[in-house]
Amino acid sequence: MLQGLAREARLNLTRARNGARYATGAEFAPIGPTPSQVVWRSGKAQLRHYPNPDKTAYAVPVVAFGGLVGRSYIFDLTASNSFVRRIHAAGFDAFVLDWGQPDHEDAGVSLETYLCDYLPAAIRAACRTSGADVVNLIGYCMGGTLALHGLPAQPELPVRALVSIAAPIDFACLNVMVDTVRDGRLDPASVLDDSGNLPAGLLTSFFRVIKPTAGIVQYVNLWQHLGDEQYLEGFQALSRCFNDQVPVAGAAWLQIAEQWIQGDAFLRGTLQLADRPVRLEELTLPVLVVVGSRDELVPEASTAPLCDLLPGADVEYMRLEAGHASLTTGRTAAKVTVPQILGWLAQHSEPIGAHARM
Amino acid sequence: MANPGPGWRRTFDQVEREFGGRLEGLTGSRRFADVAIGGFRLQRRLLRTYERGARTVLHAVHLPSVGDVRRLNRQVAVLTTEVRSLSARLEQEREDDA
Repeated sequence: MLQGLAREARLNLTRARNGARYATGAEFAPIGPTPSQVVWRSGKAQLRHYPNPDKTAYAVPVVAFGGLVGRSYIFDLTASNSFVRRIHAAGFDAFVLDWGQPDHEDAGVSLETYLCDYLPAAIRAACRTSGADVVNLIGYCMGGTLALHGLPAQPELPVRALVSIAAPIDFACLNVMVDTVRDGRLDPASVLDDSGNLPAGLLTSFFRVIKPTAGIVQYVNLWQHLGDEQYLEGFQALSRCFNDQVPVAGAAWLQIAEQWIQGDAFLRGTLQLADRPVRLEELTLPVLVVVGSRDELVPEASTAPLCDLLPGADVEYMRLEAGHASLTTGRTAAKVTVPQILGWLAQHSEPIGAHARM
Repeated sequence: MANPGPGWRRTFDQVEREFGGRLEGLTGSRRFADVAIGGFRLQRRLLRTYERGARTVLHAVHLPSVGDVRRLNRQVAVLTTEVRSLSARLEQEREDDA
């Protein structure tokens, strides 16, 4: 019994110490644990290269990016929970495209800026840096939606294959707050702030509506695992990432609201980019559509119609037992989801030396 | 099977399931969305009223208001975008030449 008491006292001491450290802002999970360097930047956007410390097995590097609302460091959360390191382990060179954090200077930044200026330039920079002729793209969440908007309009881009992870295209299946924009109860222009952008705080509240008790559960989890430093590392990295949304450039937001949300442009085939129609059926790349069966943020129904919209592409549909975050981060990602995604990419990428053998 | 955790955690999970489910039903309703939008609009209106008052006072003593600074910021932003697009075009032309 005394041993039990002593163990409990030690545990409580560790919890008190960790709790005090956490409350005073101690860094359990420094941002960007994997060495990287910026190889291209334009405006607020930048492309980070994460050189593979081991020999790469495939000649085609991977360029990953998220949406305009999230932080790109979701791809490199902690040393033990890093999507980038898993890309390395699968034998690829890795790049992460960060769209940047818009401020008043960027209120006029539109989808054309992101998709016709930044994306092609970042792909060219990735090719230049890695010496490759083509790249594989991974678009996570709204990043996948952006890729699906931008790629069919620019068939000349050197892209070998596209992985679209939890990318919404049917916006009628998201949540009630998105519905307010969709049916015109909320004017998209009325939510722009003084800087002319869609404020990050508003986006966070949009997401909180889906699971209102998530914040409390999160802190109860923290309390329960306060004695476990490894848990704290993961907790800090993830909660920082999900609470740290970025504003959306005003012009891009208005286009997203008009085309994606109100106009159902993906489903109706009315997408536009730079005043030209975008035809999804003209996309001829291999495309992997990944959905999480437990994804509450982007439900499967919002992504599923994509397969029928890409008749020209070699589409594979991958339904994984995962939530939105666990498609790319955490234990499920490490064991199940990421190996399957990277395995598919490996099938569509030539191994280094393949030309020499041919 | 996953470890159910200590007793207090099991109690919390039970309450959360019960209470959270109901709350999700509420926040997932059209009515909630309308109330949230109403609150948002009211907040915006109050802020604008305050800014109008502040602007009148600041202009009376020949000082710029937040709206003036905002307008200047937008003009600078337009110029920055133009310069950015010019340099992108230049870079592209250089690459094409190379």
